Amino acid sequence: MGNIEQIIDTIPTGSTSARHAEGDTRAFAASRVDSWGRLAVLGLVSSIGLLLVAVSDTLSRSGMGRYDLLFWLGLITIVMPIAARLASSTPARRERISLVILLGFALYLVKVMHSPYGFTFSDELAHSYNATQIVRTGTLFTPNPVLPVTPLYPGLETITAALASLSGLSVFDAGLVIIGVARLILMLALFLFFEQLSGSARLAGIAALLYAANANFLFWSAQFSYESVALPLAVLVIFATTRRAGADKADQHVGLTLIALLCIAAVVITHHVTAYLLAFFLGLWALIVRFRVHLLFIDASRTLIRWYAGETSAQQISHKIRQRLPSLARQWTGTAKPGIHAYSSSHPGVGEVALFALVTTLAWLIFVASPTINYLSPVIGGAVTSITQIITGEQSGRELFEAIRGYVAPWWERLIALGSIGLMLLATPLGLRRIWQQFREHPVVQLLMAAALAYFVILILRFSPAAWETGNRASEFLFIGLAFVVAFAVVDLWDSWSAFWQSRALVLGSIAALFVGGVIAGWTPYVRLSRPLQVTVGNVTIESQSMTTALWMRAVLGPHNRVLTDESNGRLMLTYGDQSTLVGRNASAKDILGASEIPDWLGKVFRQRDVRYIAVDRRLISWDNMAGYYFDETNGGPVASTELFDPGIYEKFDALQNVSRIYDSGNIVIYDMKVMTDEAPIN
Amino acid sequence: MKRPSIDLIVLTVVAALSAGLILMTPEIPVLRVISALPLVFILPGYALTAAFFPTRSLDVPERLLFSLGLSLAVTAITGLALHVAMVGLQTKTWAITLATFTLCAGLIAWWRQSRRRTAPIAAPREAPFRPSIREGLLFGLVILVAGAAIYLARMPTPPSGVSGYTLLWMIPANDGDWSNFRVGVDSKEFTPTSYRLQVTVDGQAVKEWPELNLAPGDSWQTSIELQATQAVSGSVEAVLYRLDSPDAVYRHVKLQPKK
Repeated sequence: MGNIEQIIDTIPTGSTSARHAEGDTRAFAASRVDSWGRLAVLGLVSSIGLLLVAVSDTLSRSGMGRYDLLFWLGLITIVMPIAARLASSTPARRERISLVILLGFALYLVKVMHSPYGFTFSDELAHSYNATQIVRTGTLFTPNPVLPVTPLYPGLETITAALASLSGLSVFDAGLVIIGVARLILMLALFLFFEQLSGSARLAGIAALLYAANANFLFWSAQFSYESVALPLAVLVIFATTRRAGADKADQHVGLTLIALLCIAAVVITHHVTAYLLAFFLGLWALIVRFRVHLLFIDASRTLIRWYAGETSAQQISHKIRQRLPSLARQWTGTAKPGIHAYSSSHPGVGEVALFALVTTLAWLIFVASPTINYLSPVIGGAVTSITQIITGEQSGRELFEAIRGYVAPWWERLIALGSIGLMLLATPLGLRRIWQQFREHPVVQLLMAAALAYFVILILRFSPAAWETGNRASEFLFIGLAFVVAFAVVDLWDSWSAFWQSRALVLGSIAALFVGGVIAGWTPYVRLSRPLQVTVGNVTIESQSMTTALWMRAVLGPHNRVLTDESNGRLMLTYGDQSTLVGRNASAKDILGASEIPDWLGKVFRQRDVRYIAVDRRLISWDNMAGYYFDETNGGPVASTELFDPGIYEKFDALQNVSRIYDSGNIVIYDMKVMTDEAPIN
Repeated sequence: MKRPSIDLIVLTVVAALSAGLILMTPEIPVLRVISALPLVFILPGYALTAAFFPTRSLDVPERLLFSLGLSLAVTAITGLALHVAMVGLQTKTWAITLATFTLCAGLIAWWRQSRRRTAPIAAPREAPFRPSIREGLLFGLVILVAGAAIYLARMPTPPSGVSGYTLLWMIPANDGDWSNFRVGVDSKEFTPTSYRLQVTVDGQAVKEWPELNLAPGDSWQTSIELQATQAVSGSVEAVLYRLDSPDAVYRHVKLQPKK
């Protein structure tokens, strides 16, 4: 059995003959290999890992202290045995696929156990509101005041509404099931995609495992958010298109094309950035196939070097470009010389699929979701400006691992996070070298190589306060390439050092470091473990103050009131209180609430936006949309004054005439601004 | 026409049955969940995959991937279509649309399969999932331990290291009516707590509850109707004290009518 797997794993692909050989060998192997291997044992080990994580989460939620080491031990127990098995050459293909799915699902359960009672991540709350509105109204595109762009991409919420309506499940339960299915699609699509490219189930398994080491895999990509469904579908599109390029039969071409087109349509209506990146990826692929762009790039690089060395003049370069233009035109129109055309015909239809992705994405952006431009441009513009200012010295860089809410990452966490990047930097050249030897002609592999290199460039963004989030989000896309490249290095190292178990332990240790480093880099440590959202006294469940306030508003004030408040209370009031909340930059909420003086334009803004209530939370953490939802862990005492705003800030509305203070829960006060909103400007 | 393959027959029956059960037995939650899951996640995608690949040239993982992925895609696009058609995204429309879509795609699959003169190309055969007794026991343990982990994670936690709190609220019974108010106290403290509540109009006490005893989670509320002689010119204020700290204002709210 091992020999057959080794045969599969040593077959170089990238050429038609190799693909035929691979197909034959895979069929042969599949007919012979029917073992599930160690799946059951590793499933048991993973479930023990889950139990350890559950214990650490429960202890943290119960206020019995942070047991981060138990959490890490649980994660390592899930990941490492699976990694060892996938790195080995013995498992059959089906076992590898099952292990990859097991890994993805077990890590998804880690997120589920983190927030077992309801959605608590900031984007989850916005999407949960959208889904609830679809269930309630039976229509799409109901405005969302907190994240106005999200209802314009209703794919996730539509599926959730379908499941909730049909099954009677709550939006929360339906959402958990859908993201679980999306995780299954992601792992399976990644495996099959990597396998299609490399012809090796072993390499595919390792690459899919390594993808789980990206900074966003554990929590961000597992949340109830549009990207969590769009990304798996995008990988499915890329797999179907790659599979189509390698398929021999015409009827398979049609089927795979239709699958790609349907899933592209679903991605386009589900998430903006994923749709843009998918169109970009397919477009680049089509360009490479049509123009052999990589060769042009190499040509151009050589010419530039010669020009720099004085071996050629600008006029000669210009003359050369003019000479090349007709041949480029012929390539575009498909009338190129047979050799060149043969290259593009080895990837038939990629251009058409890319064109469909581009047209549908643009059409959706222009005709349905035009506010996306205003939503994304400040984020991208801010990132570019910030990086520019850091480079020119106008702005200081962001401090890595800065303390958040008193939690300072221990030295070993910092070491592992930085070490994981170092390990990837070391492994990447090894992987690239191996890929260059075997696969450099394959356009998709070239793109993955470029993505792997781009990952390290994107890391620079982490030093910018305005750009680090963009860099962090980009990692889950670019990591597809990096995982593929590093997987080659892992296979090479594992096999070349086969005589020494210590060496294999070193490889496994490195994989563990990549994984742990990714989690450390990707998620706020303060909320890495579960936090108390509700406690039980006897038979009574008591919610956190923010949650209670949201529920009180719905019960006593009724739904759909316009409320101006902070980030975390705004999201809870939107989702659980059914209020129309204005937060952050919206209606200058942050400026109004965070100032010690009442701005003289307050009445005007309130009348314009028809604001009825202001909810003021005196705690600083209420502005943190990741951590502001929970009980304050004060050991029974009051919240420390260092954790509060200045009283002049949170008590300023008490001094206003005609404004009623209608609610007081200690930390949160609600003011009724009706008189001011209805009538004359305030003084 | 050839007879449809067994999977297409099963597909048709399950789709019709799922939609029927959802529409006819909405009061049985378990049945609804069991019926809804395949209708959203498997059936539309499986039927489409069968229609796209009548030769059955896909292996099991590919078929599973395409079935799941296409089901999600179809459900999302169907929702958009229902919205555009102004039919409404309701239980009934979802059930009918997804089941009809599955049946139509299944019919196309049957038609395409029956048009082929040659026998279907078999995908690489994979042995069915038949775990040994040992494996079966281990899989059972997996479910048990993972279930225990989830149970533990969902277990209610005691109020350790955190503080309880109390809500005091007061609103006019009707907008603009400054003679009728509703006042409420909700205890979210972790032990039974006694309070004193005082309501004043323009600084004059009009109502007082010297001892309100509330258990954790208890709520208390009342309506206050002012006499004509008590018309509000300044403000109505409610102040809550805890009896274990009787001099410190614990919560306060204040209504100020328009002047």
